Amino acid sequence: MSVATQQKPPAHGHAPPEGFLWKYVFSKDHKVIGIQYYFLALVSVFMGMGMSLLIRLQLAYPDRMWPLLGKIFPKGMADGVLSPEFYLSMVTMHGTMMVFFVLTTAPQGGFGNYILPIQIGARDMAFPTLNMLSFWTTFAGFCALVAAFFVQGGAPLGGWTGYAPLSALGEIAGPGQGMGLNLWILSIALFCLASLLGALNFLATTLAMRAEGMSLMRMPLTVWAWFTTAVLSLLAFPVLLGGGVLLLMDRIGGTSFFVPSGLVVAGQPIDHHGGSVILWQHLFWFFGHPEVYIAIIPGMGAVSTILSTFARKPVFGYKAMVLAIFAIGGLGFFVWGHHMFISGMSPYTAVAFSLLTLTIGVPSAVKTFNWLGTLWGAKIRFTTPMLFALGFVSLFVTGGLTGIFLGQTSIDLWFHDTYFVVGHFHMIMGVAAIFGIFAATYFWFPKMFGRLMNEGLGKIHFMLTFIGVYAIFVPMHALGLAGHPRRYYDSSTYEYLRSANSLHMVITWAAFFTAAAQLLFLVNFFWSLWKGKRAGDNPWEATTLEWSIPSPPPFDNFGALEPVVHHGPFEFSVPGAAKDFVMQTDPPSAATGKH
Amino acid sequence: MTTLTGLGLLDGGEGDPKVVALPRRPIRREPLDADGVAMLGTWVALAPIAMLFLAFVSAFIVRRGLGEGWTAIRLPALVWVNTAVLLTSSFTLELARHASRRGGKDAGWMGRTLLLGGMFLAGQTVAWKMLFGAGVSLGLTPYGSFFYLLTGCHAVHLAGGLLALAAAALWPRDGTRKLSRHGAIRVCAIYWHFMTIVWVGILSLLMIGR
Repeated sequence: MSVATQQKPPAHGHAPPEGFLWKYVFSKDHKVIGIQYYFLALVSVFMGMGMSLLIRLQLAYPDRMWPLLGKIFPKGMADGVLSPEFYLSMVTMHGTMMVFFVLTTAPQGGFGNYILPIQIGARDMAFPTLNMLSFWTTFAGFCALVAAFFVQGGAPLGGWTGYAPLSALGEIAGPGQGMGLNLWILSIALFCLASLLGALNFLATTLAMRAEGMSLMRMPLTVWAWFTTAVLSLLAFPVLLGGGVLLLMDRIGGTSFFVPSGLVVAGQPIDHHGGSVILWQHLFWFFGHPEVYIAIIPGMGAVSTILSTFARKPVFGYKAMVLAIFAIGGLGFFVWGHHMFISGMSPYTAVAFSLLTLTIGVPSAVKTFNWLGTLWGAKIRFTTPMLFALGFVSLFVTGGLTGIFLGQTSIDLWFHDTYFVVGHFHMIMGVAAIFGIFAATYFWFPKMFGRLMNEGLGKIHFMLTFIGVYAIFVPMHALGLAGHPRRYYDSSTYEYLRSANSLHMVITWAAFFTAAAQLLFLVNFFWSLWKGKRAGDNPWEATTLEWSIPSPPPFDNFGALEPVVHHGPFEFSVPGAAKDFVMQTDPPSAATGKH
Repeated sequence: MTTLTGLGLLDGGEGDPKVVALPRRPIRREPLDADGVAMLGTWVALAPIAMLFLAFVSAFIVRRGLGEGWTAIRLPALVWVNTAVLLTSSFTLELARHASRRGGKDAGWMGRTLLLGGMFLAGQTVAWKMLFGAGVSLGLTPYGSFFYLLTGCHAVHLAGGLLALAAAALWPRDGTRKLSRHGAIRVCAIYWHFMTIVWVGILSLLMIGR
C-alpha cells in the first residue's frame, strides 16, 4: 500500500496571500511568523550580548578608559568609562532583553510557531490572525524597550526584576527610573499580551487541529513541550501584567500598592502610605519562576527529539518524559518563594517552598536519566545539532545541581544576590536554553530554508561555545562562594573583593572569546541561507511529520493531501523494518516490513 | 523498577519493539469545525483573565491584611443599578443564544444586550465621576485604589466584549463565513457571562473586605 493512498484530500484549504506586505510582513502563515519571531530573537540576542560585554569590560577593568566606546555612547561613557548609571542600565536591559525577547521568543514564538502545526499535521494555527497580532505586539514591546535608551534619563536601572519601591517612585530613584522605566513597563505589558495571544493559539491548535491518527501519545515530545509552555504562559503572564498595572498606578496614579509609609529617598520624604514592597516580589516571582520553565521546556522537547534522531533509538521512557514535563511545569507554580528567602518570610513558609523546590529535582532527574537511556548503547551520529543537544544535557545537569544548593533556605541565606546565583541561572536558564535554541536551529534550518548549515563551521562553533560558556560561568560560582555580591559596579573599591579582580578578568576574556565564536554562527547562518547544500525533504532521516514534506514546506504545508498518522514519533531501529526509521506517516506495515 | 515497567513508563512509546507487534490502526477523531475551535479558544482565553483578576484579589487580601490606612469608601448606589443592568444583559444574551440556536429571531435580543452593556459602561463612568467628585482620588485610600483598579479592569474587558457582541449581532446568517452566526453568539455569551460572574465576585470582595 503506498503512502499516497493512506492519505486523503484536504477538508479545507485557503489560497496563499499575494503582495509583499501580506506575504512577508503582515503574514498569517505560521511559518513566516515563526521566522519573524526567530529573527527578532536573533537581533535581540546580539544586542543583549553586546550589553553583557560592556558589563564585563567594566567589571574586569573598572578604571580603564575606552575612548572609542566613549564616542559610541557619549552619555553613558562620556569620558570613556561606564558611568554607574549606564552600567546598571546595561545590567537591567541585558536581563530584560534576554529573558523576554530571546529566551521566551525564539523557542516558543520562533520554533513553536514554525514547527508545531506541521508536527501535528495542521495547515496553520487555529487563529492565524491572532498569531500575526501576537508577533506584531511582541515587536511593539521590543520597540518600547529599545526606546527606553533614547528618552530623558535613559534606560531603567533597577534590574530585570524591577523591584519596588525604587521602581514605583519615578525619577527620584535614579535617572532611568523615570520615563525609561515607564517604557520598560509598557514593553513588558505588551510582551505579556502577545504571549497570551500566542499561548491561546498553541493550546487551541494542539487540542483541535491534530491530523487523523495523531493521538496525544503519538505527539512528538517537542509538541508536548510547546503545549506545556503555553499552559505556563497562559497562567503566569497575566500575573506579571497585573503587577505591571499596579506598578504603573503607583507611578502615575498616586496609589500606594508597593510603596510603604515613611520612605525617604535621596533625602526627600515620599508621599505614599501603607504599601508592601514584598507584594511586588510575590507577584513578580509568581510569574518569574514559571518563566524559567517557559524558557527551558521547549529546549527539553527539542533535545529529546534530536537525541533520539541521532542516536537512532526511540526516546527512552516516552510516557515518563511527558509526565516529567508536566510535573516540572506544574511544580514550577509553587516554588516562587525560593527567590524571596531573605525577604523576611516565615521560616515555616520557607521550608515549604524549599521542599517543593527540591522536589523539582525528581522530574528533572527523570528527564536526564531518560536522555542518557536514549543514548545508551547507541551508534551516535555526531552532527552539529546532536552536539548542541548533548551540550544542553551537560549544562542542564551543571546548572540544575547548583539549583539544589540555592533551593535550601540555610544555604541560600549566604548565596542570595551573589555571583553564585548569577552563575547558576545563566547556566540553566541562559546557556542551556540557548544551547537548546542552537540545537533546534541547526536541526530545523534545513526544513525552514531548504539548505543545510555547514557542519564543519557548526562543530567548531559548538566546541568554542561549549568551552567558552563553562569558562565564563563556573568561575562566577567561585566568586559567589567568596561572597561577591552581584550588580556591584566596581568591586575594587571593597577591600575584601580586591582579590576577585583576576577572576573577573578571566571571565571577561572568556566572554569576549565566546562572543567572537558567535560570529562563526552568524557567518554560517547567512552563508548557508544562500549557499548551503540543498537539504531535500528529510536530511536527518527523522520520523516526525515536518520531514515528510518539502523543504521549505509549501504555503499550506501538506499540499493536496491531508496527512494520516500511523506511528509513534520516535520509531527508530525497529526490528524487522526495511530502514532504521519509520516515519509517522508511513503505512502501518512499514514497521514490520510485511505487506 | 518492576512498578515503572508495569506502568509502561520505561517503554519507548510506540517505537518500542514490544509495542510494534500489536496491530495498529489510525486513531479516528472528528476534527473540530470553526464553531468548535472558536468555543475552545474562548474557554482557554478565560483562564488568563481569571489569573489576572486572581492576582488583583490576592493583592487586595495582602493589602487588607496589612491594615494600615484601610478605610472603606461608600460606594455610590448607582453601582447596584449597574449590577442589575449587567445581570439583565446576561439574561437577554441568553435569550439571544437560545433564539439563534433554533435559527430564530435573535437580533432583537442582541440589540437589547448591546444596549444594556452600553448602559452598564456608561453607568460605571458616572459612578467613577461621582466618586471623584466626592474627593475620592485614585490614591486616597487603598480600598478606593482597589475599587478603581478592579472595576476599571472589568470595564476594559467588558468594552472588548461589547465590540465582540456588536460583531456577532452583525454576523451574516447565510453561512458565508466559516464561523456560524450561532457560533459567534455562543462565544460572546460564554465571555459575557464570565464577565458577569467576575463582576459579582468583585462586588462580593469589595463588600466582604470593607
